[in-house]
Amino acid sequence: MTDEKKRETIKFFIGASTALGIGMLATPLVASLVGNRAAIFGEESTSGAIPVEICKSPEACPREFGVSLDELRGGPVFKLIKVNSMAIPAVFGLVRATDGREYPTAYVAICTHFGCPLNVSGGKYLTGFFCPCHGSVFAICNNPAGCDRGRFLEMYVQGGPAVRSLRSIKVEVKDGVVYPLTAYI
Amino acid sequence: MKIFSRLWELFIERFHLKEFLEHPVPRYSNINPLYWFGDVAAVSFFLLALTGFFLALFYTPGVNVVTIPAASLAPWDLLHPPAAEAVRATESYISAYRIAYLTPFGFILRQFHLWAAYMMIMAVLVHFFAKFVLGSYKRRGGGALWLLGVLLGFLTINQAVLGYILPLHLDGILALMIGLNLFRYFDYLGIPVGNAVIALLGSNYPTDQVIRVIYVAHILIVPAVILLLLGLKIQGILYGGVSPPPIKNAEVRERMVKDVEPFYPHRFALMVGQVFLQISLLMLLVAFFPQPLLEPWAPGELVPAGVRPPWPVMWYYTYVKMIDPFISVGMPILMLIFALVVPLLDRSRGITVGERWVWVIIALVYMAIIGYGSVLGFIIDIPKQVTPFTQITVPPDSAVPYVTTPSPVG
Repeated sequence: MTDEKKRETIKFFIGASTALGIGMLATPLVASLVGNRAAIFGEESTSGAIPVEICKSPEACPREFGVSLDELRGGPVFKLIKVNSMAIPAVFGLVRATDGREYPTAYVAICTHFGCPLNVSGGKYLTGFFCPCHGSVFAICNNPAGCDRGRFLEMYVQGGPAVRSLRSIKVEVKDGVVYPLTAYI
Repeated sequence: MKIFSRLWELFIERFHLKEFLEHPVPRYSNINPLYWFGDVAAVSFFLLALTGFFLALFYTPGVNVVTIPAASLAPWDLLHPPAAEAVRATESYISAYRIAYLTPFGFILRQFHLWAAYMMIMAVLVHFFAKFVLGSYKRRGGGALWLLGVLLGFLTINQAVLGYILPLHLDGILALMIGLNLFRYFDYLGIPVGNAVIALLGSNYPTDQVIRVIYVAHILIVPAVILLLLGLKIQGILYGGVSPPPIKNAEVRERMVKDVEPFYPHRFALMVGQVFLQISLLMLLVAFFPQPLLEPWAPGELVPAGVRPPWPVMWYYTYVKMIDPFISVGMPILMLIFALVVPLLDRSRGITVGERWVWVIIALVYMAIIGYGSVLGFIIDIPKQVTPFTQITVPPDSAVPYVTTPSPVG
């Protein structure tokens, strides 16, 4: 290889790696300055939630995926749901709303911060989650009119480093059993 | 007897081993310890391959939770006395437990593998820093060797993390889950790396498939790549020579490069000594600082606070906590890219350490970033906000709304 060619190759490599490095740094910086990440990344990649269909309907759902309401009245229940190649750590729980009624809910017990498994907080009713790794605290919005930080039944971030609400699972009740339908992982 | 010596001579001759055994090695590289750490890392790699082979024979990858009676555990394992009558753990954990406590010599085997891995990473860091300060990439062909070395270092750290995950103790499972989910922040330039990782492995929660992929990567794919790059690197050094000493006087430098000894017996004897010293040091570490197998965990169980990552990646953990993860998650990639282009950026003509003071400072800062983060990771409390950067406001568009139509049951 002649010296001229070598220099050109070197220039190309320096340029390419500098551009890559600056691009990697600049994209999130610009996005955080703009304040609206969705405008830069697009809605899908920002929320990052991938829908996974567990059952089409409660009728088509295997009984072992569901949790009976009697069991739920004793406290939140953890279930590892295996669909295709995925394992979804689901926590089923009853939420007592401010209007005095009970709502069955289910959440994916993976922290939206870095992905640690979550510990459930609350006794008989599901009130929130706590991340043992970096201390994120998730709390339920139990006001049917909605809360400051989230909609009704949204597991919003109450404290700690997480930025996104906990990902939830669509559930439906049939014959006193709560069935998971679609999980957003 | 004569036939054997004749056979040996034939062997040496037919495979051209004489050229290898007599290849010239400069005297200064035999004397100066700064030129030894690459050998230490390479020898550690072969010790790891040797112990890893036997570990792989006994290890079973699997995340299925099995319940075993506490009475079947070794009664002399008082490190984690079982609280209940039965212990729930993954298949991987049970097999790691069997290796560590119920197999003859298994304890030594596992500890030796662990300490050899730690020694390899330390040697790699020292080797990297030494070559950075000496500017070894400035000689002819040095840039390519530097590139191989940086890639090898990156793969070594990867191996450390993959190996840490395999026993599927609590810390390993947390490391795996963070590895599977952390890169969802990594959507620089619109490339959804996190989703690609999930699509490739099929899950963002440990499954049998995920752990099998990690097992194969740890015992086969990454070591094969390391072996290939290491072979190229040794070839490059064998024919390109060792980097010249950082001495300003060209005449003296030339004389030192010319002052060579044959590999056999000079460097060969040194290397034999090094291998035995290394093995004895590792055995001492195994004897005096055994690292217990960490406690088991099964999905759905309570996770205690205070779990930290293994020390080779502690610095990453610290910075990713300190700085907005949207920015800091790509830090290792940035560090890697910077390390790769160092020979291209450093075009100065300086040879001695004094002349290259700018690059010595850059090398010091580079190592200080890693060292500071590693130390800080051990010191700070876990759920503590280190800087104001840690608290990030929730972008309203990134909240996932509750998806079910709320329907009361009581």
